[in-house]
Amino acid sequence: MYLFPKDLYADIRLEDVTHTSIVYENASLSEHKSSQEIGAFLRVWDGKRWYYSATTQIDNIQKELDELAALATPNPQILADPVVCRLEANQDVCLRFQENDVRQVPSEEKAALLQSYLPLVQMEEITNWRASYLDTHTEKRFWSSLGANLHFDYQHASVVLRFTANLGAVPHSDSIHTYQPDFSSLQDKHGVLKTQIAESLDFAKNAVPVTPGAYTCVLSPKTAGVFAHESFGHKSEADLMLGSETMLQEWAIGTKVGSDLLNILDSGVPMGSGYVPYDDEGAKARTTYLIKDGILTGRLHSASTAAALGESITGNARAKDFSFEPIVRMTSTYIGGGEQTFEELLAPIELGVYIADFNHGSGMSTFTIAPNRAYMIRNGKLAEPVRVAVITGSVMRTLHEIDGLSRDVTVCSMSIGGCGKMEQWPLRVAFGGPYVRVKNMQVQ
Amino acid sequence: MIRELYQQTLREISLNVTSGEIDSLRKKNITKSGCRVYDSGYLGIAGILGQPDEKTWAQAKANLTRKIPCPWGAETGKQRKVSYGGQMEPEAFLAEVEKLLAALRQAYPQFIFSNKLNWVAEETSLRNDMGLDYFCQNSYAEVGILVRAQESANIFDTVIGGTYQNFVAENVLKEASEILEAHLHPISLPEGEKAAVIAGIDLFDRAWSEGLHTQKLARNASPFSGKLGKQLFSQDFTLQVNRSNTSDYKFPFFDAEGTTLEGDAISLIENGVLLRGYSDKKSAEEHGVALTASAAGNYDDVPSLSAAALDAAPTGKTIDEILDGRPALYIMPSGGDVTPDGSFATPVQIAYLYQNGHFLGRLPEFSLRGNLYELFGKDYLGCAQFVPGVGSRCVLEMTIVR
Repeated sequence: MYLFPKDLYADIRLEDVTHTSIVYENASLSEHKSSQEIGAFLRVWDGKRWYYSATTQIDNIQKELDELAALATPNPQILADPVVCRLEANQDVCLRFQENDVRQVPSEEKAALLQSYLPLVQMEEITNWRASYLDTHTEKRFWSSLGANLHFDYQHASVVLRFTANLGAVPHSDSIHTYQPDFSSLQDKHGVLKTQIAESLDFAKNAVPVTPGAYTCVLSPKTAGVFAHESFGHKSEADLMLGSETMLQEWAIGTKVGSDLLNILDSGVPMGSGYVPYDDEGAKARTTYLIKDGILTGRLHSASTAAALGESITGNARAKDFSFEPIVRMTSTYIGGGEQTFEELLAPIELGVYIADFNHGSGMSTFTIAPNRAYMIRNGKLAEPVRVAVITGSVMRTLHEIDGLSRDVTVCSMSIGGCGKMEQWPLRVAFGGPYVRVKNMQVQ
Repeated sequence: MIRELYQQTLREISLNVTSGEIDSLRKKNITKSGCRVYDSGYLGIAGILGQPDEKTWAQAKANLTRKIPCPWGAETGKQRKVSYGGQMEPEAFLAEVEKLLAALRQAYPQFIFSNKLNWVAEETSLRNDMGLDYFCQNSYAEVGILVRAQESANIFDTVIGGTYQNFVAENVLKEASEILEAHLHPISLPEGEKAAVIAGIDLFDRAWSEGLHTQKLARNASPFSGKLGKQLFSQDFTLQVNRSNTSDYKFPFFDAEGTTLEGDAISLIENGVLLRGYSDKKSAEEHGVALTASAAGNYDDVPSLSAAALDAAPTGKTIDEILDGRPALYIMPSGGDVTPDGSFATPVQIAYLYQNGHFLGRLPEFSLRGNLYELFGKDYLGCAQFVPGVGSRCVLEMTIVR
């Protein structure tokens, strides 16, 4: 075990990540990789400044820790430090993927599984395609000078089909996927993906340019999720508020920030690409209501930001990989359900746009979603597919413009990509919600 | 059998700033090694963090059984070593950053400064036992300081910094002051439906990466398919793969397959005519096109086609010469996109009015709209000289949505 420096707080995060990537492009095998990366991130805190080191020399962790500690100033009062007081000293072994560990599945079986999906994209209408099998098994160990001792794992397995069809005026590119927590769950998703490909081909054939303007939009659960993530989630990350009295006043807990219907939650508990049993400074996952009934009720924290704002930690200190320090990040962020059906949401809309899927999103004071597939809504029904470059809106205004939510909530996991924040991209997150109706969205 | 080692080493000192003060120091020294074995038209790869040993090479050899086709084999018998940028000791970098932050805090108490300043030394090498020996070393400071006005409720209001091969606090402060002074002066959008806009080529990344992908071009999966040799854009518009350090410090002169370019650059669109897509060895061989050094991937990946290092070629004038006294919108947009038919739209949350070498003031939020073929056609005014570490800056006429 490691010897932690006296009069300082320190922790060590050791990550062992195994990854498989098998790729076929237009029927030709272009990648078949199995890799393992082991690295450690060390932190030392003296009450004034953090000192970090990322290393792949696992045998030298003690030496690295000692060198890092030498940069810091010993602080006999370190245990009374507000940051340290908020750090949890959990001890737990939480290995949920030992029984269905993707590392135990022979690579040939993974390749055969991917091959079984290839016929879905081998059709005349699709002119270019790329099919991938991807899995990642992560084991993390965490020790701290407070006595934390954690060993936990998480795992992702996916089949991703990217393709381009040229059936209408212009080519349409799409990416569909199935995300599962283990290999065996990927065996029978052909039908689901086939249906999605058919929808995409129909879009490719019939989509026309949208007429730009302000519309009432209905967002699919996936798009509602990215809307919640981009429009509000990043605003809830406390590190982005530090030092600004104005922002703290504007975003004071208890402030009305959205429609009465609106609930937004973040949680590392649900299984999926946002599952994080412990964050990267050892805090146990929990569910945080960011907005409840339109009222701001919480924000996301690390120990440092919680200390700075005099609040409690939320289990949201996360790092992209072993080479970065944990910063405040979302996990699974989703909008809570309402009382209507999808059809009931559409019914009162004379002219609107349904956003079925998206390519990317971003958010500051204005959020943007670049849809991949969108459809006009005419007289309460879905109508022709339309090509939309972006939908945008003011965060402050749009949250008040939500006037309808469907009952069922779907939290969507990501097979590729993730959330980007400053230098740390991509970090796996999940997001979702019900179908959401929003007035006055700018569609271009 | 050929053995080849692809290595990337990152040494970095990273300083995080919160409320104008350094609150953390991070050091990295990470080497990633990809061992490649070429044999009988196949490629086997195994990777490791740190230096490889015989076990890694044995794994790479064993991975030949996975039958990844590689009939084009490895580059052989070429050598070139290049080093860009200066040296900086961690202590000197820390002192210079402290100096910069102190000056910013003193000169601009209206703002809160945060985020990262990194000193980065990257090495990339590709060497094999058939005489290939490529090495590229880049050292630079990455400064990305987020700025928020004290009275603002935004996550951030503007960004200052850039990439500097020689990091001198005074120089960074001088550049930052231009933006910060302008930020303190709100100004109205110019009248008129259209305005000249100063923007990087990356604003249209999706159009280039999807449209100029060689495989997609050849397989009728690109909006530009069937248009090779045609004049699609303005005669002034040339788009290149540029691996020289005049464009972006982050790209070595060779790609992940060891392909290099004469003069470190090649045109994909020249004087408005679509000449070729970007290609790696696989797509070049399959479709009989020129190599453009566009293979990329992680250290232990089979290299694959990537739209990296794209930039517009300068048209021989500075921004001021292109504008000839006209005001222009200098934008820092986020989140825009282009549809396959060329419709482009983006919200602009950070923008400044620029005229005759100066930023005159901060503009309100607006959106921009246009069509790719017109923006780089009749609405293309030119491309300014390269700004090292930033790339080129194009000037385009765009429609303002107020």
